[in-house]
Amino acid sequence: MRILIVEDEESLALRIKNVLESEDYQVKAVFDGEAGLDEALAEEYDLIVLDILLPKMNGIQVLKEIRHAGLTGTVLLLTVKNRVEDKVAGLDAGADDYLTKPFAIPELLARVRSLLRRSSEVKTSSLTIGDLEIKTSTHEVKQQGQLVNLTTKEYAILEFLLYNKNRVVSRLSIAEHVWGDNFDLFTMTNFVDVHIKNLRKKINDVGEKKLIQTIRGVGYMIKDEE
Amino acid sequence: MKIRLHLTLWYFAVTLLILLIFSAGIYTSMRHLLFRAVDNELRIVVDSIQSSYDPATKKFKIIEKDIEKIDPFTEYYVIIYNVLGEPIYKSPLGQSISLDIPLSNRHVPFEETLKRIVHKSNKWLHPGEKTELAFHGISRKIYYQNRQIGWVTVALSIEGTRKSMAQLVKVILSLILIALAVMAASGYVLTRKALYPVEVMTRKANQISHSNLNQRVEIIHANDELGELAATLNDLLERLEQAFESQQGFLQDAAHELKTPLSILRAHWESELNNPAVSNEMKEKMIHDIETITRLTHLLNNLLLLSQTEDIRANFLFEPISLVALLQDVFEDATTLAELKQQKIELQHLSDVMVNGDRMRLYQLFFNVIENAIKYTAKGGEIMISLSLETGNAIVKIQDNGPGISPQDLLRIFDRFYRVKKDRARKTGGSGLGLAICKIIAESHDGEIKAESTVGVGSVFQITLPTMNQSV
Repeated sequence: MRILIVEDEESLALRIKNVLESEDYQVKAVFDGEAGLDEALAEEYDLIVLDILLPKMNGIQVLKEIRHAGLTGTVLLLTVKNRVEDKVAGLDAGADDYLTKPFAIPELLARVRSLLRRSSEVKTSSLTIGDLEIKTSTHEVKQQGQLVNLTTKEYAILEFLLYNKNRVVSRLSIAEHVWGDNFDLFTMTNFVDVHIKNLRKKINDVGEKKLIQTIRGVGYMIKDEE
Repeated sequence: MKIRLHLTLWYFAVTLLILLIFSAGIYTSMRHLLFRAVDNELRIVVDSIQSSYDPATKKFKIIEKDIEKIDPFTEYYVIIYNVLGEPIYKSPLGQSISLDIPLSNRHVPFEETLKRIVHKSNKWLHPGEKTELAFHGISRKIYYQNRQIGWVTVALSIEGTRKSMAQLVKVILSLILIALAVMAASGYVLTRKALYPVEVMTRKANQISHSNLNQRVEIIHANDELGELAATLNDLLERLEQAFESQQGFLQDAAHELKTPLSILRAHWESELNNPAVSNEMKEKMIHDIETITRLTHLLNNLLLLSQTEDIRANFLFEPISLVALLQDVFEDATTLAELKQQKIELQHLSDVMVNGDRMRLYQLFFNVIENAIKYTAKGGEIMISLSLETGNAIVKIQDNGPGISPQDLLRIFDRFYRVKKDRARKTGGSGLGLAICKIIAESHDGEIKAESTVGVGSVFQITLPTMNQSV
């Protein structure tokens, strides 16, 4: 999977590039709008992570040009503006999703995975881990063929951890993903603990070797079984 | 309109003064003229008596009765004295009453006395009549070829003249009243007309606030003073609008510029969480930093929200929302939180209702208030959430049996950065913006939030939101 990052803050662009590369994506980063458009038209990318405020050419304009050229690749917009009308403008110009800065890396990864799965030709609509099968289209979770009844929030946490498989995810990132970012942080992180506890009960995740691992003081992680 | 009343009163007072001066002038000169006419008449009578002296008979021809025996001076009070001062003739009136008109000095050759006398009649003898009659009287020596032949005293009732004067006063007063009424009405109408542009400007200026600074005052007459005032006001508004825009732009830019380094920091620390070379101890510290970065981000977002000078609704996504479903959602999360403090939390509702609102923001509004209740209520406390309907409004009450809020705190809890008990302690978290944001959210939904509290008993927060017509 090839990903293009168009972001004028070089250190941020390189950091994202780094993270995505560690997840085995092929990534290229450019730092202004014109370079972004040139690169998008020259090479074929599965996903473009596009900042809106760019030097030389605005991200929305880059996006319009890309769509005008007939390219249908998935585009994830990055924006600092938290305004409904800006988001609407981005989506109208042909973006598939948007992410407000500052964002959590796990959130970015979850969005990237979700977008790539949606657009990939092989519609793999289910994720598996251990004896769990998760249908992302219907939000159904089955354990050894048996349906597990999860609440919306428990499902969201499980899916988020799976999209960040093998990575430590802070409680804060989980909370922001599930409840949004308008709430008291400390309350939210407490929520995460409670919901993870309930989730573990429901999928019978007890004993020495848990599926959802607790990284003390840091967060949670789902690891692939070796 | 104070100035209108003021001006009208001034017009009124000045007009009244002018009218009074005129009337007084007319009255005194009229009075003077009328009384002089009476006095002249008296002199004419004296003259005619004097000239009717017949030296041959030493009698006054004029008083001799004619064939019909009618006394010539029926209307007058006339007394003729001979040179010794003895009355030789009294007219009928002179016989019935006696007026105190002193005879002039014998040694002064030519003299007359003019006097006003008030005759008081016995009201027992003349019931139902005026007991006081005013006269003008004259007494003069009369001569025949420079030889004094006696005195004449003539008096005439001036009651008729007085009546005329009273009539005149009545006419003048009623004219003054009419003039004043016309004056007051026209003054009021005229000032109203003149001040109409001021009224228009005031109304407009009252409507203009930070959210519609692009509006301008209507200029009615461009060339007069009020037109100039309106133009000046518009200039001021123009400059204000520009200042506001640049301030708002600055704030937005500053916030966005701050967010970029925060993004870099956060991405940096979060990617390092997966670096196997970093110890778990270090990662815990990094988590703390990430939380601090997030708190800064929240603060920035909240500041932007609170400083919105334009229509805040532009940032909200309005849609029909089932209030009960939303409250149940909030309740579910709140229960998780309350259970951590072994608190009892209850949700009561009557029937569902639809409101037009931004789901995330309303969630934030209700959750913030409930979260506060949980935060400040002791372990094992009780929190009650209820929904009731009033005409056109849904009322959500959040009641706790916490420590309560003191009256002076209660006044300010919806202020920005206000904290009860100044508890800046981090254990309760938050920036002191929570309730200020709740207020903004409620108000941008055309609703309101208010709080009542009794120290030691508990607090009730009441959120009112207008409902949509299509209640379920």
